[in-house]
Amino acid sequence: MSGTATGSWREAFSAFERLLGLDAGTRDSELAELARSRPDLYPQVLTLFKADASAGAAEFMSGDPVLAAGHDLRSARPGDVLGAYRLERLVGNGGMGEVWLAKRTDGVFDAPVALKLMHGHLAGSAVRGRFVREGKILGQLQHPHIAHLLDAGVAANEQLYLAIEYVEGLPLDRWCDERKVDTDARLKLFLQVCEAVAHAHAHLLVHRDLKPSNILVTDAGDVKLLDFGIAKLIGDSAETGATELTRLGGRALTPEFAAPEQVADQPITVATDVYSLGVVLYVLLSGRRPYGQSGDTSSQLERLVLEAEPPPPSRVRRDLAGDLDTIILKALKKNPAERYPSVVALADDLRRHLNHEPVLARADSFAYRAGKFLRRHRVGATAAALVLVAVIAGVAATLWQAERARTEAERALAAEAEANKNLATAKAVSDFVTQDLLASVDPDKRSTANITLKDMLATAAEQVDKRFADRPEVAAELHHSLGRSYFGIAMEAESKAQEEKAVALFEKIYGRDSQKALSARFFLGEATRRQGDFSGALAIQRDVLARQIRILGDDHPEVMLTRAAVALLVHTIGDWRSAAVEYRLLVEAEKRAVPRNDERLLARESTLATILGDLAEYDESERLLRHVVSAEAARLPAGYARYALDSAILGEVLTRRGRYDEAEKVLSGIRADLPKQLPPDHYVYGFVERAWVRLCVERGRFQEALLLLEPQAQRSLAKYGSKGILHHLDLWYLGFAYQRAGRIDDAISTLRKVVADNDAGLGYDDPEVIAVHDELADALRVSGRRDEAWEALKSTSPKALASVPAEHPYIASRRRVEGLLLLQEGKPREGREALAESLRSFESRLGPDHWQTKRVRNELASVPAAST
Amino acid sequence: MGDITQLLVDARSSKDGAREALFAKIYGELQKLARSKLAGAPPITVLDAPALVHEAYLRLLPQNGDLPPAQNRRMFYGYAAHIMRSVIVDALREKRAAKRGAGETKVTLQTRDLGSTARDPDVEALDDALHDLHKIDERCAQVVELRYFGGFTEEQIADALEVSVATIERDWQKARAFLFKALKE
Repeated sequence: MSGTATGSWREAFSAFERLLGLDAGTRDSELAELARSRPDLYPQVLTLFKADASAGAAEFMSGDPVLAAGHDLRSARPGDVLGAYRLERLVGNGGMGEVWLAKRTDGVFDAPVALKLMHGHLAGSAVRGRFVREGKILGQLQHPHIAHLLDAGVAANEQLYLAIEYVEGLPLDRWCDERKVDTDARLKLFLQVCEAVAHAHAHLLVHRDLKPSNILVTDAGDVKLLDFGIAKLIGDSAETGATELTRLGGRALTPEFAAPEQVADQPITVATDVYSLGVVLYVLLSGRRPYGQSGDTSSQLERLVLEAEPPPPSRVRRDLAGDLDTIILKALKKNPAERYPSVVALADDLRRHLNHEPVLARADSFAYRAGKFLRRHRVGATAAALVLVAVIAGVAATLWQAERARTEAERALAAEAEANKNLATAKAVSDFVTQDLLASVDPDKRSTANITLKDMLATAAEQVDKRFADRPEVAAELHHSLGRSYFGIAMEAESKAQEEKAVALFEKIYGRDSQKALSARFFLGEATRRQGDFSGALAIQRDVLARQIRILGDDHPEVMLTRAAVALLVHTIGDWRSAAVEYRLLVEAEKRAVPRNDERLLARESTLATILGDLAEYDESERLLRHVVSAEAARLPAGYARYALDSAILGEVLTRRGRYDEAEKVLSGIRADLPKQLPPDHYVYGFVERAWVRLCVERGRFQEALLLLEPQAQRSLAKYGSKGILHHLDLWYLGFAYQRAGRIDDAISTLRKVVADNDAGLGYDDPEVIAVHDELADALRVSGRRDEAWEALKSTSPKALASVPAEHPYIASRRRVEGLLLLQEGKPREGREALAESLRSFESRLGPDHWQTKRVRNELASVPAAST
Repeated sequence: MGDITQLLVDARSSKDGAREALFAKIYGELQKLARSKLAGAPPITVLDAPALVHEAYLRLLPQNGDLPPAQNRRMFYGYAAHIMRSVIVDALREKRAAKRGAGETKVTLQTRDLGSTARDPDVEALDDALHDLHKIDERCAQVVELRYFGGFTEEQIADALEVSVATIERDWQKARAFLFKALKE
């Protein structure tokens, strides 16, 4: 290489390095700039970028040169005989060894087999025994879409080999690209893959290394899955043969397709394959990997797998927006528990998408949106927030069940209709969908190719009344379907309009108490709730519930669903006592419907316990939570997030009771475990941290509390805005911590912010505001601003005050502040009375040794006796 | 067993002949080790490069003296990775020459029908390209030796070269792109 060439490469290197550090957009424009300003340098830099991309894609130099040299020095050769096989030619090289095309020497079968020669590491009779045993298990796996393992053996020279059905085909992605196959056909091929993986899962085998190069497609278009060689027996947590093979073979795991739990070395389950299938689908449909650029190193990739949120595939290919985005992102959740529970569930959703039915992955986005909505519109404290999560989780699940129950109901209805030879309705509906609606998305019949679900629904909504003016029963069904579809994509006003029409028609045709009319009214209520009209929604759902109980009985799944909706609403509008009653009924009904430790029942009990905690019914709350947590502990490591959340709630209730040592034990255990169990952006962290901060404040560890709270309040402000419920929560604790640390001015200004936002009018009365007003009034009292203190106390909504029991600690705090104010104003008799009342309440709810009880007892004792 | 520590110190101060002496010493040791590992092994064998280098290091160290300071150890590994490259390339050349002499067809590593052909590039061509890379950016070439031929992790390399892991990652990316281009030509 000449000196000048070396010099210009040096320059190209430094330009390349500088551009690598930029984000993709800036990089492109800088490259263009370079082409203009340095036409001499540009080609070299461009060459480096291209080479970088190709090198990454080809896994250039990701192998091991000693291994490569070893091959060449002592490689197997054509004609070599291993066991019953004679090698014909080398056809490939994988992470675990060479692959040869071979034939049987004994002529039993003429068909060629693929002979996989494992690396020479695996000496020792224990390893060999395991290898053969493992091979036998894998050999039992037979499925048309899985390359069959024929034999696993040890040759005379100790070489380990696997004989596998020989498959002639191309890797999945290349097969599709070369044939220019469209999205639907790709999905159908992918469904074959799912079928094969599901079959293996049913036989307790997880693949663990799914990637396009392990998925071949034959000329005939049949999928064949390769390399179940590293599959691990599910439920066998000991380090057994397969694991050993993987580790010793090295680099068997491909970071591009590995799940977070694989990178983090955590337990592998069927959800691991669900994740890898998600990556495969992402690549197959968009042509890109969800993470990173081709030049990324393994460690960069691993970090991305653990931390980065993958961009929706529609970012690359616009036409994937909607269902496919949702489905793929659900499969790619960092937390295995949030993914599809099985490959079958993933495949079902894809099938639903292909059939243009609503996909279940939506339930997840509903929970997300509902959470967001409620956070936007609610002021409260930890307990309320905790209830929220529990309730949302419950509602998302029940909605999903409702969806299922409904399709089942619809199926039953269809059967009934058929029996009555009354197919007309069903036929009219299906004609309308296939001819009118699907025709409207046919690009040939529209000017634009990109038709959104919204467009389609609008077209349908427009046409229903016109088309079916003489067929009200058909129009009603369609309005109801449209209403649910709009609900599914969070267009509440449109959903309501459709359901209102459906309700009116159903009631006219089938009567007010018909199941159809009630089902439509239920969704009307849900849409009303989502619009923020909680009282309106509650009125609707209470009415639906009463009627449903009349016609369906207490324990019907639909009744349960409505009951949950009612309980959620009652709690949302701040009527804690009624919410507790509703939830008790729900828990009782669930107990009759499902086994004692059923997850859904536990979730309901946890919510009930939280409400009871809010109401200062600590004994029962704690008892319930201990039961829930121990039932969940028995199931670990499954359901860790739920276990952590319920433990945090338990810690919180213990904190409120003043049982600080126990609370600290529970919370510090969870805090230590959490980073090992859940990705850092998991929502449970927030709850555990808030419970911890509360404990710090109550225990008097103000410095630690402030150290955690001040940055946390900044973060929640940035994340949720000044009116976000979680931000308010942080401010409330911060105010409380300032107050107890003696920083009265900071306490007042912080708490005023919370009160002002709350008073800005959110339309309902959350009892948590009592506590905020109590604290503010006390801070004002301490700084001698008595008028303002009274004002703060008086501004509390009477409805909020009415919804907690008279002995509630919030009311006791309030009586204490009132008493102290009265004493300062020279009204000793009223003052003493108020303090005594406060003391009685604290004693009964928090016990004689709680610091709040002690404080008011001391304050009462220090009032001069003469003044009575 | 000569005084490897002294050789390292001499090599560092560029004393005449010291580098060559050091090279010869480590080379011989590594080659002996690699051969012994390959001798009784089945046809396909993985050699653990870092383990070999480490073993060579232990063997070459004065058995009763003090451990050399960390700096010397790092230097040793840097040399050893460089030498590992030579051991591998030479072994391959030797073998090929023998095969050609015996009338066998040349077997190149990059010829594969299926799978990724570039995972293990042709070692001889790579060796040539590394010479060019060394002229352009010495550290990039060192990173390739340590990582690809020495089998060290990025963290270990960063430690040996006393730069950050991010720097090593960037060097690797530059080197890999350059070598890929060179081998495609």
